[in-house]
Amino acid sequence: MKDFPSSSRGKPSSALKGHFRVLLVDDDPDIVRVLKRGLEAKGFMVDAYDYPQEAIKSFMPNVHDLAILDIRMPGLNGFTLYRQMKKIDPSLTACFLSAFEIHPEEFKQVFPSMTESVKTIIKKPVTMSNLIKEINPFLRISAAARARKGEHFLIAFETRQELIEQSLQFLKTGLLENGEDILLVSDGLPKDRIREKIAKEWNVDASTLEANGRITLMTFREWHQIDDKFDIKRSKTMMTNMVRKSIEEGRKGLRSVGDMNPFFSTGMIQQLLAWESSLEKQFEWPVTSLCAYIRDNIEQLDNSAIKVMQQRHNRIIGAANKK
Amino acid sequence: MTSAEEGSRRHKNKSKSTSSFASSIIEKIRQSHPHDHDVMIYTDLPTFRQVYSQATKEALERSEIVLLTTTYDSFQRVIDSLKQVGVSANKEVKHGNLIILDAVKAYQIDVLGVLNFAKSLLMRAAKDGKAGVFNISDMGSFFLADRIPTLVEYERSLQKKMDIELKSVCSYHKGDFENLSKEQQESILSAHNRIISA
Repeated sequence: MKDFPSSSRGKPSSALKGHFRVLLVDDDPDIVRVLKRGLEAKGFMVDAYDYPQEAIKSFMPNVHDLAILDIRMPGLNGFTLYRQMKKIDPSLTACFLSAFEIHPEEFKQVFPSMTESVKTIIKKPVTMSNLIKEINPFLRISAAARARKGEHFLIAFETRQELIEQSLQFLKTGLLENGEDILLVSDGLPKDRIREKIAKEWNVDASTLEANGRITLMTFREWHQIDDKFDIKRSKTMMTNMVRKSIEEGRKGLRSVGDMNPFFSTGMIQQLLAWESSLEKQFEWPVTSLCAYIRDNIEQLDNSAIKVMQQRHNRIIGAANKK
Repeated sequence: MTSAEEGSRRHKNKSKSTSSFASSIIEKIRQSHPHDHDVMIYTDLPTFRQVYSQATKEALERSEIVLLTTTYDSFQRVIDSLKQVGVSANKEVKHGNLIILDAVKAYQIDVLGVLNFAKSLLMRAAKDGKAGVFNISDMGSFFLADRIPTLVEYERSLQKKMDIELKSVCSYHKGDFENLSKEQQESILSAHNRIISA
């Protein structure tokens, strides 16, 4: 299980160490040394450079879960370095460090081409606990961005808002970049709100895509409990039919997100385990499926339930191990 | 040895030669006069720190107001570097003798921001009986914001001998400067009164 080192929840178990691989680039060797040591102590594998030119020379695709890049480096600044790395590894997730503060409006004005890519700038000097807190959401973004075709994986998000935002980002990549159909099963937001967000943020005609079967939005009840009856077979048949239709119509398969929180809010833990147990760890069909949990819910599960999660998912990201 | 460790070793070796580079540059800056629009190419940040710290110290001793814009060193790092050469940085800032600006905000919100601010400082200097204004600016913010044509245009818009009594040293990290085309490099160099390098 791939855990997030946490400043508030104690040290990660030694079994988890080394799972996340981070690329750290800062032209200040003292900062590099301190952050590298701190991240390694928290269980990360760290490739650190104080010369950005060397970082780009050694950079390989699909190696790092996250790049932490200082912005202000002479000769090759963090933004240019990021753009060069994205050419080599389009799914790379990065966050940025700076000793300077800049107002968001000023940032937009000065760095218009980076506005989409830079969500947060981590202010230096930064304590290790704050750094970990800041990078954890980026690690979840990275985990979703690096999803492989056929993968059934689990991410434990910190908040419902993060769950919805990251799930939609994951689905957007499937629809717009991979040519997949997408399915979202969630009660996190009303369907109309999701349609609005998709239309506005993805710049697509969500209603038409929904009518064409490219986008499917379902509530928990519509997917799992038609006629108030929990029926795994029927849900799996729906999924199979959607994949089949996608392939038959010349598309690349299905990318789905299941928001698993209603299982917890309705006390349906046994049904949850039954549903997860029915799904393959690695699908033979072109389905990429993200099971989206809230970390607090996952931590309610007992050891046997956690074991099921581990057995049925290809990767588990963001959930703490049961001691 | 990791890449970071190799880097640290390189930095240590470099620092041995930093002082002589810095001394040579500082000597040239010492000979600046009002109206001079000079350019400096520095090899690395430790060298630049020594240069701006010593040049600031000497300008303050001459009773000049110092305007320092920084791209790569944080404000705290600038303050620490100044303290190392004996400048009471916080006191000088408080008294308005030393102004430290973030070059990104100083140049990239309004490209003429530094120049206009320097003009207002010249007026204040005259009013307060100061000896003048010394400006040392790192031009790295133009590279960061990917605005090279704007940088060239800005430098070309200033005369080698400016019509204001400002002593100005436009400073470029060698790594940034080498990212310019030959034509851009020549265009920038030829816009300045003196080229200061070790």
